[in-house]
Amino acid sequence: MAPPPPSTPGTSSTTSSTTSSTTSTPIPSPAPSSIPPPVPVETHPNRGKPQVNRLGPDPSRLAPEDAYKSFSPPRLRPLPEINGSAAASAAAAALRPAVASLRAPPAIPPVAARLAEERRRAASRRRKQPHVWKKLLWIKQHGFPDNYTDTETFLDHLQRNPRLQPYDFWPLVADSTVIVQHVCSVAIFVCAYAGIYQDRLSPVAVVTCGTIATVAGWLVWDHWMGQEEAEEMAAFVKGNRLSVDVDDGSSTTSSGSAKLAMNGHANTNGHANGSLGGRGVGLKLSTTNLAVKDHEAKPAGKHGQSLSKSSLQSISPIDPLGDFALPDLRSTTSRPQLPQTPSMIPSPPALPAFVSPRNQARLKTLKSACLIYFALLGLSPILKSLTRSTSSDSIWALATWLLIINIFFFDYGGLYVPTRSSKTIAPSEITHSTLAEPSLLHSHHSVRAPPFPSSLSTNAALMASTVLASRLLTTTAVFSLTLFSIQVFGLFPVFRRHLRHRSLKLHLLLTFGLVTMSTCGLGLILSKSYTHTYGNCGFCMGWIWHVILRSTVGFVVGGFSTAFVMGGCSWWLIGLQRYKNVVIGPWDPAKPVLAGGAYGRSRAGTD
Amino acid sequence: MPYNIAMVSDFFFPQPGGVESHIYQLSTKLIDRGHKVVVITHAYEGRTGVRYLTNGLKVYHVPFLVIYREATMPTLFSFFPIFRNIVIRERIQIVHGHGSLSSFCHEAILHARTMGLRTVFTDHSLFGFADAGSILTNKLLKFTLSDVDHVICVSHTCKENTVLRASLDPVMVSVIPNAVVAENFQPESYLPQAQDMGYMRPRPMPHRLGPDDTIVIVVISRLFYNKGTDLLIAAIPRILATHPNVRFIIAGSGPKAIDLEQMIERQMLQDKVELLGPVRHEEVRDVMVRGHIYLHPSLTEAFGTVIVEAASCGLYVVCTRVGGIPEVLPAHMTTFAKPEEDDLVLATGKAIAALRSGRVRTERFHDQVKMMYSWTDIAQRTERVYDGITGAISEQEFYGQYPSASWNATRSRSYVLIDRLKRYYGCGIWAGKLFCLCVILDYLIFLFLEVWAPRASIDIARDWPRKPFINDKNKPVENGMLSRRGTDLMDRRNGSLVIR
Repeated sequence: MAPPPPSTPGTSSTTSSTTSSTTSTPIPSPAPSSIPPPVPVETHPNRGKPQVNRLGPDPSRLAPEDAYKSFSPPRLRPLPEINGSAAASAAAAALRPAVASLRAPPAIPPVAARLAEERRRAASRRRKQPHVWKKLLWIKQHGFPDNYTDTETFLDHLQRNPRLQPYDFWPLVADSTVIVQHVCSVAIFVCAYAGIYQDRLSPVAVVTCGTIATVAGWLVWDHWMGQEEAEEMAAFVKGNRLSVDVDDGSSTTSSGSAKLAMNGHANTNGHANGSLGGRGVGLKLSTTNLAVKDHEAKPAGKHGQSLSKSSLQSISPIDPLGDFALPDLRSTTSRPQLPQTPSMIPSPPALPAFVSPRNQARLKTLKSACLIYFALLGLSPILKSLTRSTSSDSIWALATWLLIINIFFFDYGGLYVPTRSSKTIAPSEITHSTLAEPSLLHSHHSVRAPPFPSSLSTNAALMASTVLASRLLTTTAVFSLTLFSIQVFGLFPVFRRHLRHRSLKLHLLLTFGLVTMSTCGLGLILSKSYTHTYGNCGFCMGWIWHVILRSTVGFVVGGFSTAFVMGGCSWWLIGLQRYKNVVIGPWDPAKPVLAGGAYGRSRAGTD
Repeated sequence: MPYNIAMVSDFFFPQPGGVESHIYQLSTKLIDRGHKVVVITHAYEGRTGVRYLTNGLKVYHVPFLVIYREATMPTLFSFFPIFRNIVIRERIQIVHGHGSLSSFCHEAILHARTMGLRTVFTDHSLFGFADAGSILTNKLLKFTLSDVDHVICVSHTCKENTVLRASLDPVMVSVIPNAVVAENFQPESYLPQAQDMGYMRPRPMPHRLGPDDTIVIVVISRLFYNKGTDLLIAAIPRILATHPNVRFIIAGSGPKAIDLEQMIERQMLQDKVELLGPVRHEEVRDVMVRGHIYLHPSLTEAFGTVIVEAASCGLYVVCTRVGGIPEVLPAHMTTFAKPEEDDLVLATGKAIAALRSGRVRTERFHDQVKMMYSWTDIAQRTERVYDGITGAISEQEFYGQYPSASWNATRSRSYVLIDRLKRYYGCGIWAGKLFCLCVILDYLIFLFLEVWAPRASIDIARDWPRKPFINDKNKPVENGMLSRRGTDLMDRRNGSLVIR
């Protein structure tokens, strides 16, 4: 936190630049006076004055004139520039110990302090040696006026852009694909809706394609999860052997290490649960997120609870129905997270013991999928007439805003990352410090917690799809669109996150695919010239030609504009970084660091 | 030469506070040095019109709309007519504004420059650069300080901050700290003795604290977030857990008081922590002398007068290393902590141990603090600033020598309108033009007022009988009917060196 002591960079740059200045500048130096003369500085930007040559750039130090020149690069103003001679710089070097007096006040025993003070007073009486200016208020600065500005210590605690990370172009573009993917999936949804609405697209075809893709995605996912779980179990078994002696001591420790192992497991359960049926879904993101937040407040055992709470919140139209109609199934939707509690029950009692945990998870996923499927089917007629009394314009406006909210509040940071990162370091952590591990895990979670609930994004999207679906005419269409929206907004982001984490190449490929699909879809939808409805002409040549032509045009225009926007925005952001000017100094209010121990936690509840 | 000075600020008595007492003490001491000082502030509840305070300090309470925390509404021009009237009536030469949140002070500086007076601004607080409120205040400050003659800051950190906020030349900013009236903050068992013994005089025997004696930690602060009350709340139970013979006395009120009370109730520390509620400034000393350690967990502080007062009362000070606090007291009076709970607990533990071992001679603190900070000294240093801006001491002497003659722009600010406009124009692309517009309008109003209410028609107020003027050599010079007095007598009356 404290800036490095300026003496080392100061001396090095001084010595190096002294030689150069003595050779290059022929200005005769004045005799070193007791007071180093103040730096001639410009007062104001409009009081122009040609800048003297600057030497020895040192980004950590500032010269006084940097205070009012906002665009000058932070540099050390080398001492020879002030005085122009080695003798003067030596005199300035003699001043330097004064700097240390402020920075690290040693615990001077009072006797020594008094002696020092008496020495100082004696010296002031004799007026022999030149006095040293100190950045202190309680001493009389003999011989220095009140407006004396010490070039050595002035603004020496200032930090500029302390946490600046310069961006690189290609990584930035690669990161922007996350946003592009989401925008494209929203565009695909809108295209699908427009197709259905204009009778160009069969709703059944849309939902069939979506379901096939979802099931395929789930299979891939399940495969990954199996792999990760195996890795994790191995790591856990290894770590458990080492931490057995600590485990029986404190409950927090044991729950912490147990939780570590169950983390992936629970994830499997939870995610798989949603993704199988494709419907349990919108919740998946929001629930994990909320659970994580709860998690940092209360160490263990809260996961299952908060999940069920939030799932109620996010699929409220469906869930209550499930609760009342099929009380048995309720346990399957809300309880799959239970294994995460410290008690660590691998198999809920409802299921036969011979089924492995993963198969149980799959079974549960299947069940909840069926539940949501039928619930949706039952709700479709109601949804169809939901907004009959509202004019279409209002619906379009409402849906547009909701989708914009979805795009802007989407959690692009990636929820999957923290669990993964904690997973990857977990084995090594376990091996050397089991005690510190729970807190470390917590910090991993809490650091990534987004400032807004990402359930907002998902809920907005689902509401948009609901109001859009209510404009459709047939129950089938309503059902298809709602199901499709759950797949697109609820499940697909989870898959995308995992994919991005597994392999960057596949991620980029998926981005390309999504861009292609969305741009082709937009190209088709935006063409009004050809009003073929599906199946009407039996795939005549004209229709096919129309599709190909429009898709190509859309792809070329959309693809290029996407690439242009991605590159342009990245480049712009890099350009804007030049203007970043964060000034931090001792005048900023300090952020109190509370230990967060027993006292801190007990207070957290009441605040 | 003696000056006629107008102190302008929104903040003045009857409201209590640091800026208020600063203005009062500084004015009193300047009057003692032979100057004439009037204070211009806005009207308070039950306090309107013109008032005289002790020592002949004249206070103008101008009726004005107060919007927030006793700061007036920034109206930019409506203050000008009455301000001009006061300035002419009192024959003011120097306008001295206080407090960067006081719009009264900013307007007064602007109008004073238009009227051709010298201006000084004293900054008492620190501001960040990040949040919207700070950005707005900083822009306003830049506007005012573009054309000010000199700026005074209360600590070196404050100077750095002000220089950055208002884009000032560092040489134009002086550091003159606050001070304490030492005789109001004496330890319990302090017997003042003959002054000429000075440092060597016999002192009362220090009574050492045994390992089982109770140590009382005093905290006097408003209970706000930025005073570090959260740290305090977190630290108190831990300190009390590790040191059984420690008690706390906490004075002050604020929004965090509830949290503090909750903590005390939850941890059941009612018999160890005493909450006094708000105390008046006169009672602060009586609270302080009950303790041994003063704990100051503030998160930001420009100067921290209260820790000087505590040290003057003979308390060992534990404080956070923030803002200007590290500059204020010598190392043997303080223990510094980082603004972290753990470090604060650690530092308090160290301070308790140091007191118990008798390594800290708190009974000497009062005399030492008295030597460090006195208002007479402050007034003298402020007078030098006045001398510098009015040209009583040469520019070379005031701003320092320049060995290289390449830079010879004058530092004294000319009153010519075009020069002023040049200075304001540099404030920003849009702000510069806006400021220029304001200044031109201000000048037009000034011309209009000169015609509408000519100077000749404004009465000149009779001065309070002046005290003999003391120049820089601390000697009174001839001033009318008053006779010459000795240096010792003057100083004694000023209370700087000795109190009887």
